[in-house]
Amino acid sequence: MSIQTNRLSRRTVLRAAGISLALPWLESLAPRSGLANSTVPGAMAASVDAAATMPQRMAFIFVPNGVHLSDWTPRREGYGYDLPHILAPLAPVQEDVMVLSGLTHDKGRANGDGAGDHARSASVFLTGAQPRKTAGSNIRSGISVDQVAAKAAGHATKFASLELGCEPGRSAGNCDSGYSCAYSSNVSWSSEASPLGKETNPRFVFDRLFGDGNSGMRDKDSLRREALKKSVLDFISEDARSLHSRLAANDRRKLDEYLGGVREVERRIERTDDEPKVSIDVDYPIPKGTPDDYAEHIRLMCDMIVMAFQTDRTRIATFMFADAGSNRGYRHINVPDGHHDLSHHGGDAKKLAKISEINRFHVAQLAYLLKRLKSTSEGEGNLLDNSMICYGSAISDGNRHNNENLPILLAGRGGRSIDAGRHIRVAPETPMCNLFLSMLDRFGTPVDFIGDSTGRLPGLTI
Amino acid sequence: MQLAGGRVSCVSGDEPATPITKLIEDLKSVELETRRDAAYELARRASDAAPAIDALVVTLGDRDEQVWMQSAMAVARIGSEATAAIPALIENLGDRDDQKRYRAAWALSRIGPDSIEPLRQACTSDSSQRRAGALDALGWMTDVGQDQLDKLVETLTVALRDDDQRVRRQAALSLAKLTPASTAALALALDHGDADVRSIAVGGLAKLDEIPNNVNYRLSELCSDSEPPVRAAAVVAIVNSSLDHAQVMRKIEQALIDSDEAVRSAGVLALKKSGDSAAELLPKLVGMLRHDDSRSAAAFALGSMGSLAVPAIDDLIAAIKSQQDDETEIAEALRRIGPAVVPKLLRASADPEQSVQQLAEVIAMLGSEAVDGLIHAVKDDSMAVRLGAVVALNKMRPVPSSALQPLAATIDDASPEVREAGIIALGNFEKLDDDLRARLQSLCHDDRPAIRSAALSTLASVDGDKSSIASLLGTALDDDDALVRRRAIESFAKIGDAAQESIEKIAAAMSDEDVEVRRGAATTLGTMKDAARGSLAAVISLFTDDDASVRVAAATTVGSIAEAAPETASALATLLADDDTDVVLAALRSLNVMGAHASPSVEQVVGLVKHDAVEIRSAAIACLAKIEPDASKSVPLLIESLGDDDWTVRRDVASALGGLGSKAKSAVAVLFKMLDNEQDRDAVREALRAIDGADASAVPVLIEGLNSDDRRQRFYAIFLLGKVGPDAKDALPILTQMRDESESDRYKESYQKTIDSILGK
Repeated sequence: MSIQTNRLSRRTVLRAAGISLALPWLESLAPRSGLANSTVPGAMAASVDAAATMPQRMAFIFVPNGVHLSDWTPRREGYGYDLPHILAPLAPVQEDVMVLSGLTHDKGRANGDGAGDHARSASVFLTGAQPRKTAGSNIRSGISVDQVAAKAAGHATKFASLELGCEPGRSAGNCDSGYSCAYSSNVSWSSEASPLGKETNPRFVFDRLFGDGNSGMRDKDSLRREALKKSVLDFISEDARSLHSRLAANDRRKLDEYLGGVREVERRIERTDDEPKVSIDVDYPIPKGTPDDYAEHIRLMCDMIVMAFQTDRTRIATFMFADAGSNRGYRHINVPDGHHDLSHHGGDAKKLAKISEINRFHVAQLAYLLKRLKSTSEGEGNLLDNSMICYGSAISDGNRHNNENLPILLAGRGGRSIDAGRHIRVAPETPMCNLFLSMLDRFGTPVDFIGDSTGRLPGLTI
Repeated sequence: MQLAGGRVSCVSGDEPATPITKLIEDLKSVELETRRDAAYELARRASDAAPAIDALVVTLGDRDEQVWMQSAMAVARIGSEATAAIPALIENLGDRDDQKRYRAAWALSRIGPDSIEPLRQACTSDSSQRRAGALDALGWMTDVGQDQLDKLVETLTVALRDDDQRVRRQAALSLAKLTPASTAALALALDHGDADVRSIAVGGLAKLDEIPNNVNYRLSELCSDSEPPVRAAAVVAIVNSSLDHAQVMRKIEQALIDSDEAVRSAGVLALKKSGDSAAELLPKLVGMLRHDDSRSAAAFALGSMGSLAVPAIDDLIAAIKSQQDDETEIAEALRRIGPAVVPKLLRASADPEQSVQQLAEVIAMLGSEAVDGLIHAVKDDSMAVRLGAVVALNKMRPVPSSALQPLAATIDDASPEVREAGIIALGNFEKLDDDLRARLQSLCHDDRPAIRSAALSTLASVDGDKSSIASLLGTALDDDDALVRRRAIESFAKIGDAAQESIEKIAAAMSDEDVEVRRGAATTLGTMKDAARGSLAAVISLFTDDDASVRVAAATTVGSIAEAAPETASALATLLADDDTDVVLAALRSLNVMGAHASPSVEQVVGLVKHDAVEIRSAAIACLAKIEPDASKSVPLLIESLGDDDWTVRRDVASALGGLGSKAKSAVAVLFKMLDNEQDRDAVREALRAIDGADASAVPVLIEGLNSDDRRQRFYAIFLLGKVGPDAKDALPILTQMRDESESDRYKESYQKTIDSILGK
């Protein structure tokens, strides 16, 4: 068992057999150099220093089947926009959320390739590239924005990126009118031909975030902990106590909160660790380690994104709340109908109301993630201040399958480089990839273009 | 989860690389997929692809987007050795496609200094598109020497005087990219006549680490510019300037009361960027709350200050009294300040000039943050506070389950107002325990009508024996108090089929002296469909009711319960002459439901097709299409209505024609022309799909459509010509030519299918 402190990153890792518990940013462990030579006075110097050293994070959340746009789009533009029914759960974090109206994913359109809008909508979401219409192995899309960033900055963290989801989609076979399932099940592409499979089991994510060694060792250690009914914290408790004594009061509280949070997530995962279950809301057996409560599943994954960001295990994540064209039912919010079936609403008011509820449910989960990030302090601000969370769908209206005026949110302040809390309407047909270019700038990994971008997105700052 | 590996890779990295010579050959292939694959591969090869430059120059003009896009990327990655591509790329700068221009500009910048002179020449092109594209490319040239940078800035500065607004704008954007080299030029652009240029210049200068003093002064002046975008950009820019702090705060204050919403929004952002200094404006903002013309703006600003605005809560609450009906900023501001507003809002309920409902609405907007405070307040000593808390809990969606017990306890509150509000709030819960339901049943006989009506409504909403509720509601229809009878009749809709047990009572209520009860009775019968058939005559008798809303309810109900009862159609037709628009609409919709059974009313309906009111025209058209059994009579009328000035009417006509299916073939010529209009496009496409055919009259417009810029329009033309069959023989030459020239197998197949159909194969 050992404690390894990386002085440069101000982050500590507590290690024991099979466990590698990274800790959050702790002021007490900060290097003392830097400020002494600064010409910037007092508090401002600390603030500038903190802002400069805090890493930026980015996450992309995909939701399928479009939204009911009239319950989504705020009436008012600019700062202090109104919150329509679907966005209402964002009220506590509205100051940190920018609503972007008018963005387009042109490559989600058929452009001569015929049907298959759902598969295209996922593959294009972060790539902006027209996927090759094939159900075979010769798939081709484009490198996704998260992977552009991961290639440039992924070396700084243990994991270059996290790819998460809630539905274990297939990676081969025909899923949508001649498009491979690889297109509809993944949003993250490390190259034109390589989608990155997502992890849907919270237990596996937890073990990889906090386990050590290779996957075989991790599995063995995890089983050992399970057999002993012990928490990962039991194995590092002595070192945690030792570290505790070296910290200032603020950091002690922060460490306690963090370790408490890890234990809480671990307990929630333990509660799900019984046999595989069958849910009538989805057409696949829910694997061991995965909650059958969909909201809990999403929230567990969100918690792990927060912990991974907080401990700098990774700075980049993608999360598919559901796969493209998902026909999951939402019985827990009194919408038992399949989401995809409902999305072909034909203007039916009852169906639209149900779609609104599904959309609102998804946004409520996003609000949970944002609140968690916001309540996690970092330096003089919080984790959300140093993050960019892009949420949305590459289909606007599920009935029309259109790819313009997409429902997109950008949360977080990107290290104070985004004037959040506004509703911006961009020019029609502005590529979604222009937003990605601007995000990559702020992440510190600028590129000249991505997908079908035509320039930076103006207006993220005034 | 990607943890260094684990990818779902589909192409092996061990395959031998295709020789460049083969890729060059492939770029020339007539097969689209082959050209695409080659272009993708060359783009991946970066500088190794240099030998393919001549072939890539050709494919920069390829018709396929993926081919030219990847070719441009390959050229860019070849870099300085790709000078042969400069003319073709400059040609692409003038393209209509944003994407093509952007890629070309980027590729030219990667080729580097060799493209500067050709680009400067392109800045004098006759094509404004190309001039703008060239300026865009110059803005990418950030890695060149100082001499060349000076030249670029000079060219861009000259372009600020271009006649074309887009060109001027692009020049400003490129100058903004070239800071700090372009600082002087941008400073001059602050005085430009074009507001767009001025605001871009402000944005460019705001990015400088240190804004020159003379520029600071000018930025301050621009906070009063005549154009809102300039004012907005300037007020945010000055926050980080070295201007005197008091001056900056004055400018922010000015922006906060600007007449333009975007400037006010920028003012708020400037305020937030100024940190704790924002509190300095608090007294002024509070003062502004007292004036009608500045109240909303001040509330907007205060809301953005969050906890800094806590001292202003009382003033904001007081301002609620003066707000106009459509003002939402005060409520929004209070919500944004957070839970600290709850106790003060509840206390304000005691003010007789305040509306408890309005105050509760604001509290409910806070959601879960307010719940604990409200539950506590339900037991407060002050009746006003208790009432406010109960009403606020009732307005929450969903009402928190933790509020059930506290709300149940309000049944015994000393105040009848609190009791009534508590009983109503209990109706939000799906289940109540037996004791509570029994207590509510006894309250259905309370002395106070408000309590009786609340108890009835709540019992109908929650789970329980619906049959006994139906009986309670039926009895309540005889209550002396109109309020109780109204709630009773409304509540029947909540108990489903059990309401049928009281059908006679409900029918009798159509003779009630109270308008709301009569209307409610008619509406409730409408929900019972066939079960209410025996009451049709009584419903029809309401067609002559003095109150229009009762006539509307009766007309709607007849449509719901008499789908196939022709005898009711003639009665409904009498309402088509009603003075009230809503009554006419309701009658049209009910006739529509009856379909051909309503055909005797065709003449009256035709009379409404050109009515002044848009909604009546739409409803009449939809009705006509349904009730006229002979489509040859209705379709010409519908086609005429496709020329209506209002697009919603045109949309409904298209939909009605679609509903007629193949009987509406003669409308295709007009419908197809409407595809040019974006407003009509979706509805027309749907109609064309539903009609699924066309007659010979459509052939000329369909042939024209084969040349449309819009891919989907071309597809519809091909498809519909095939449906016309031999009568479309005039289209054969162009279809054959297009088939032979097409590079897409799918299109070739579509053309061939249509040709075969015309040839009768």
